[in-house]
Amino acid sequence: MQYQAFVIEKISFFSWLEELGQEFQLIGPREREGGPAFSRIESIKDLNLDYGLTMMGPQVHLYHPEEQICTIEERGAGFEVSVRQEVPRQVLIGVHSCDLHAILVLDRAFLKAGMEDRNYRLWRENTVVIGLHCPHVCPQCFCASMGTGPFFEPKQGYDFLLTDLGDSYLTETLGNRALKLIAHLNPHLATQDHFDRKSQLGLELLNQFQKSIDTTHLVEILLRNQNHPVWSQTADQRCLNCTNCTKVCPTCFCYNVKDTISFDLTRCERSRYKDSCQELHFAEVHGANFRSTRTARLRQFVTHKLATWVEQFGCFGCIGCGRCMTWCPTKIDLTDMAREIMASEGLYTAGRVKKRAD
Amino acid sequence: MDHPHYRTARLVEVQPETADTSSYEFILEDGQDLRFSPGQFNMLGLPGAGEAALSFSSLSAPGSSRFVHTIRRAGNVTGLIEELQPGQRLMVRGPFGNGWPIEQAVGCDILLVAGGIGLAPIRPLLLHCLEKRNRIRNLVLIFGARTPGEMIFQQDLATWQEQDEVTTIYCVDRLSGESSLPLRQGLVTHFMEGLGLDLRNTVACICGPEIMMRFVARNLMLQGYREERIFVSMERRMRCGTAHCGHCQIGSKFVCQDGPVFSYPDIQRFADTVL
Repeated sequence: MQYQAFVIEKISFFSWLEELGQEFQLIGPREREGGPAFSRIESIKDLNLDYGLTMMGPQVHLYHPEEQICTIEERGAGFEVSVRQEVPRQVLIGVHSCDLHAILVLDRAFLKAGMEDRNYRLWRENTVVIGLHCPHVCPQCFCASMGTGPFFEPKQGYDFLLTDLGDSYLTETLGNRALKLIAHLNPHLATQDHFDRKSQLGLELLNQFQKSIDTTHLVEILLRNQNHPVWSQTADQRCLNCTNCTKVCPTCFCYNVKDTISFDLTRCERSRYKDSCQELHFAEVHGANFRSTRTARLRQFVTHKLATWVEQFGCFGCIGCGRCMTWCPTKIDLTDMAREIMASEGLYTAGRVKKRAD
Repeated sequence: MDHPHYRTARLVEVQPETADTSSYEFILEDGQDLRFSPGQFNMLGLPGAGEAALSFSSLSAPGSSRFVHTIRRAGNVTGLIEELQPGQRLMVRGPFGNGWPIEQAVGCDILLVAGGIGLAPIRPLLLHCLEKRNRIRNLVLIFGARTPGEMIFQQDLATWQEQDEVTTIYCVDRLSGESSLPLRQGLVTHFMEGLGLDLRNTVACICGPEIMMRFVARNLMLQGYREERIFVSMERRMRCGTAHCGHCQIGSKFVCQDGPVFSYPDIQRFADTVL
């Protein structure tokens, strides 16, 4: 996809956003009860781009917590199924690097060739994504370790990618849609100087991280420790089975399906809603439950995000945002569990991971 | 195929198998060809009840839109299917899944081991092997059920038992009641030695309760069969069939997309199975 980089004065950037509001629904971080949240922006003044971490990631506007799949009506000759044909056009404003990566992860899950999720594709195609590099590092964040931040490297997944340069934004663009949208601003092309300033800001952020995890041999280490005591200890002593971790995780894609029938029994609305592997019912089959213990469910969450996801999708399922541990009522931290496993293998001492001797 | 992609099928005929299991023949209302391979499955559904993943128990007939599912009453969807009368309709999505490793079995001995309703997904594989009999070497079917009354496909079992092309061993946990079939008493694992198969060159396909597949696979490996040529068909509840809903995941695998048939070592390495 075509890549370009411009410099846009903040004043013209925000009036441009206001203009976009005529054509698109604007969605961005704004202060809500309990903290910043990606919500509908009625006025640009509502926008708070100097935010840290939202509880729910911006992806909830692409993959909604609950959504209709289709309606089914019984006719004489069979079933008439209607699916959604269009969705509103929207702009997601100020998406941080980790959350841009989360969207790329969802793309891999929902846009597999030959097996696309229709609703997700519709929302994705009709959404303009404006990424924004974080101004500072949050205390729970370990995106640098996961390779998902602090700055966003892939040249995919966004329309615009902003870096705050004070009075202006370094504005990287991908694709023709982005170029068309800003064409009338006649923006100046970015120069090497702007990119140097961007690199400098990135380096400054790298020094601020308080949290890290060594991913070098993480997959093998976790897979060969599926019966490690850390799973049952953490699950039995601390896990409340509240499912918060999966609710706030921006890469969790699992859903359940429900049918709602009209009162006269002629029309059925089939919808899906986000489900959680931490729920007891999740791995139930007739006559058995393959994850009937909290230990099994906690292990599933952690080993999926940090290990099996890699074989499944070619990337980690964890983007290092730290939401799961932030909204865990007992502060269960998946990096702690990984470190404890490494330590028991003698691979982790005094804050560093050693290579396995053999 | 995107989700959703529904078709309408009409129930043509019901063949009772046991007290809680019947074989249902359907035909697609659009009259289109339905191609599927042994081991694949459909999502069958009814508005209001949702959908259930069910294996084909018939062989795909080119140019035909007919197919058979052998279904045990177990939940909402299967309970409502049991109440369908010929001429009534349901919704179908599929076929899904990879199916049995038919190509890999060419030129090999084939051992089929089924337990209970697990014979349903094995049946089309056996029919396929009989149809292409000259492409394979020895063919053995071991089928176990709890009681003679719980044995499905009684007519097929009698036919296969009389055929020279396939060696059959039928066993039950408890010999009770009458049966026209020669039945042995014991678990399938009691009858797996001395089959005269080429250990290094046998493809074994197993379908049944997970705990049974565990002991069958381990028995075969101890005898010297090659572990990567032992295949199991996994069962997980699924909502979509298109590797999105996540319910059927085992480790890095989606049972609906990467399975339901897996080579034993490929799926056994993950947690949360009893393999």
